[in-house]
Order: sequence, then structure tokens, then C-alpha cells
Amino acid sequence: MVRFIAYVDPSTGSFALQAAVGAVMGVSFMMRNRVRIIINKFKKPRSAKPDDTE
Amino acid sequence: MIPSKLKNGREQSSFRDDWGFVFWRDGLIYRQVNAPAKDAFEHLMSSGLYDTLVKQGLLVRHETVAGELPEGAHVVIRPEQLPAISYPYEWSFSQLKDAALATLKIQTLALRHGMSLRDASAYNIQFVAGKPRLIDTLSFELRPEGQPWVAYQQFCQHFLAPLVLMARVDADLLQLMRVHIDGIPLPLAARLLPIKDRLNFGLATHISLHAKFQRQHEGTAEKPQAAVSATSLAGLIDSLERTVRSLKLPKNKTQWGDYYDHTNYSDASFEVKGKIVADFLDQIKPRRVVDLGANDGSFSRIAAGQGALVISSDIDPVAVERNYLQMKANGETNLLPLLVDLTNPSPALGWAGRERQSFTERAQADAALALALIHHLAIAANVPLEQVAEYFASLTPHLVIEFVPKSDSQVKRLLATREDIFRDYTPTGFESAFARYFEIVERREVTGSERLMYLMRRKK
Repeated sequence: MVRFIAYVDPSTGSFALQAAVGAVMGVSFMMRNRVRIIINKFKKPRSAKPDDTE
Repeated sequence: MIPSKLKNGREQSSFRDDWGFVFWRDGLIYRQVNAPAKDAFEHLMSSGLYDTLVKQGLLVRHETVAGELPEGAHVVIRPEQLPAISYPYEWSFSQLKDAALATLKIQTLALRHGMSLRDASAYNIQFVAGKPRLIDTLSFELRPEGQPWVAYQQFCQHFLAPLVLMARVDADLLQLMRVHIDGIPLPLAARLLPIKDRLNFGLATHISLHAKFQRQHEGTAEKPQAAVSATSLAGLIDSLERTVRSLKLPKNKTQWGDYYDHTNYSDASFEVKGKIVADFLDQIKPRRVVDLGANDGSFSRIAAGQGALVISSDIDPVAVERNYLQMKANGETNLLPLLVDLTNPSPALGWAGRERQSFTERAQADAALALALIHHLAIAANVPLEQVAEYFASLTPHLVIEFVPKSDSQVKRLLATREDIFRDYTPTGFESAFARYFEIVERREVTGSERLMYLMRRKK
């Protein structure tokens, strides 16, 4: 059950908007995170420079 | 004005929240946490959220005060004392943007700890050591699964709407925050948004669609019912963050934005002026300085370099923006750039005119700098010299002030299209007007210019 918080007037319209677009934004957010994780996995690690004194 | 060390009693702006209130005791600020806030406050402290936020500089730290508790109180805390208070209508674009991003970061961290911000007011953020910090420790509530963000509308009104209007219409629209003290109404912001920006997904959702949903549901007598998952909420916050980050101030030229790039000072005379300011300040050794007409803060930094906290105020939004960005780049911690028009400084606002203090009350300082300013007040704004002196005397006991004569090219520009009715605007007239409130400690010429620098002390 969702609580109704009295301190700040949250506005019914604001709640309704969150319910309407929240799912789309949530899915988009998760997909972007997944893509970022995959890209980071395949990024070449930086290799150390060879020691010139060897 | 009551000296702060004698201040006692409830802070007059702290009356809306039944979870607690702020009060003064012997000039120090305290916060009483009432019984209704007990569960949320204890979770804030035990969940690790408080430690995380304080460590990242996002929340004021506090100490618990021992002793007998007043009736109805769960605990009394003493938060870190703030050296200077400012309000969002006095901030530059980037200050407001950084405050918005800090609020979103706080909300993200709160969600990870099972909590949520119960309000997202821009007045809950203050700049401390150069960075935005939440000052209301009672802003956090426990978030049951499914609860939407109760402060989403407030965030959009306090932060997103003014940022969008500054970035996409005009920086001066920030002053709407002085009229709408609970943030710019979203229907108004939506109407002012240029048509091309209504196609931007973030702006279309959080401003235009938000306003539409508000209109559709206004007058509803039922309690709002909606369920929003944690993932949806994370997506909403992420969308807000990306929208805020995408907003940038256009590179507009303003009247004084690049003043120091085009003054009539030679490099040598600019250096002389800086040395005089440093010498004068060294005589006073102020801990707190207000720089009036600071422009990009060049001379504020002399005072800051000597260890003073400096309120660095100017009328020009581009100059204040430059000042703030430089402060960030340098990592300066004792400078507070503010947007203030001295001919119309921020007044006391809010309920009974007591929720937000006037700039004049908050700008009290040990010393004031008034450099390259007097001609703007006396000639451009037609304020009599004696009234300027009276106002400065109300702010500070020590004054470092520059007199700019009529032979100076900046004054000639002001008089180019006007009749010169300023018969008393001479060094003698200036000194005579200020003599009513100040005694002249020292007077020096700025070599290479005709300007005069004064160190003055307020008469008892």
C-alpha cells in the first residue's frame, strides 16, 4: 500500500506521471546500465610500458 | 539587528515541519527532532546513509546534544554552523545546477539505503566550503516498496524549471524564484519553453507532461494512488540527472560579464590597485568580507587569500557564473559568489516576511569592498552619495572604496546621453557625503589612473 505523505504536497498529477512513465524510464535505465557493463567488459585493458632498462 | 551570539529562541523560518524545527541557543543553531521522526532518524543514523552523505560532503554533520529533552522531542542535535546563508535566486546558473545534481545524488544514495527525500527544496541546500550541501537532516523518510517520489514535483519546480528557463530563454528568469518561493509553477515554465525544446524528451516529460498531468488531476479530492517500483524510480532520477546535465548557459555577452577584459586600467595600474586593496585589508584583518560589485571576484580573492570568508556579489549573471566556475576550478573554500543587484537587493520574503532573510541582514561583515561601484550607484542609479554611505555603514564598520571621477572613461560613458545633474559627484563631494558615517583612515591614488582608493572606518 502506498503511504500518503503530508509534509510536501506531492500532487496527484505528479504521482500519476511517475506511474505512467516510470516503467519506461526504469527499463531504459537498466538497458543503458547493461550496455555500459558490456562495453566496459570488452574495453582493452591499458598495458604497462616496457621497462627501457631491461 | 540582534548580534548572533545573543540570539535565542525558535528560528522564525522553521515552522512547517511537524518532524522537528530549528532553534537558536546563545547564538548557535540547534535542531529538535520530534517523536514522529524517530524511526526515520534512527534509520538514517544506523543504515550508513548519514555516514556516506557526510563523508561525501553532501549533508551537514551534527552532534547529539546531551541533557534533558523538551516535551515531544526524540533528540536534539547541533548541526555544523554555517558561516553564510544564500538563496537560489542569488545563485548563478552553475550553482543552481550543482545544487540540483547534489540533490539527485542524495536521493540516489537515500534509495540505496531504503530511504527517500521527503522534500527537494532548493532552500535545503547551502554552499559550504564552495560546495552544495543538504542542511535539513530531517529530509529523509523510510520508503515503502512502491511509493512514488513525493518530492518529484518540488524538485522540478525548485530546480529543473528555473534551470531550463535560464538555459533556453533568459538567465534573468531566475528572478521568478523571488516571486514564486515554492519554485516556478510547471504550467508557467511549460508555456515559456520554446517550441523546439518541447520535443526534448526530458523537458517534455518533466516539465510539459508534468504540467499537463497536474492540470488533469487538480481538484481531485482523493488521495493519490500510484505504485512505482524501485527500478522505475531509479530510471526517473537518472532521467532527471541527464536532463539537468544537458542544460548549459548560452555564451551571451552581458553588460559587465567581461568587464575586466575591457577596462581602462593598464596592467600596471590594475596591479597597483590590487596592492592597495591588500594593504588596506591587512590593516583591518577582517574575518568576513562582503565584496559589493565584485564582478569576477578578482579583488574578492585578495581578501580570501588573507583568510577571510568573502561574500562576492555582483549584478551581472555572467560575471557571477565566471566567478563561481573559477572558484570550483581552483578548489577555493572561502568564497561565496552571489547574484545581487544593490539597487534592489533580495528582500525578506515568505510568510510574514520572515522565512527568507534580506541580503542586507545576511551581508553583515567586518569589512566591505566597494570597488569600481560608486559611479554605478550615484550616477547610473541616481542614488544620492549620502544614502550610499548610510547603506554601507549599515553593513560594515570598515570600508575599502574606490572613487571613480567624471574624467574616467567609464563615467563619461554613463553621462554620454544624460544631462550631468551630479554637481556633488566630486572627490570633495564624495568625502563630504561619507564623512557623516565614516572617518577616512587613508586615501591613495591609483597610479596610472585618476581613481582614488579610500580606507574608511565607521563612526561610532
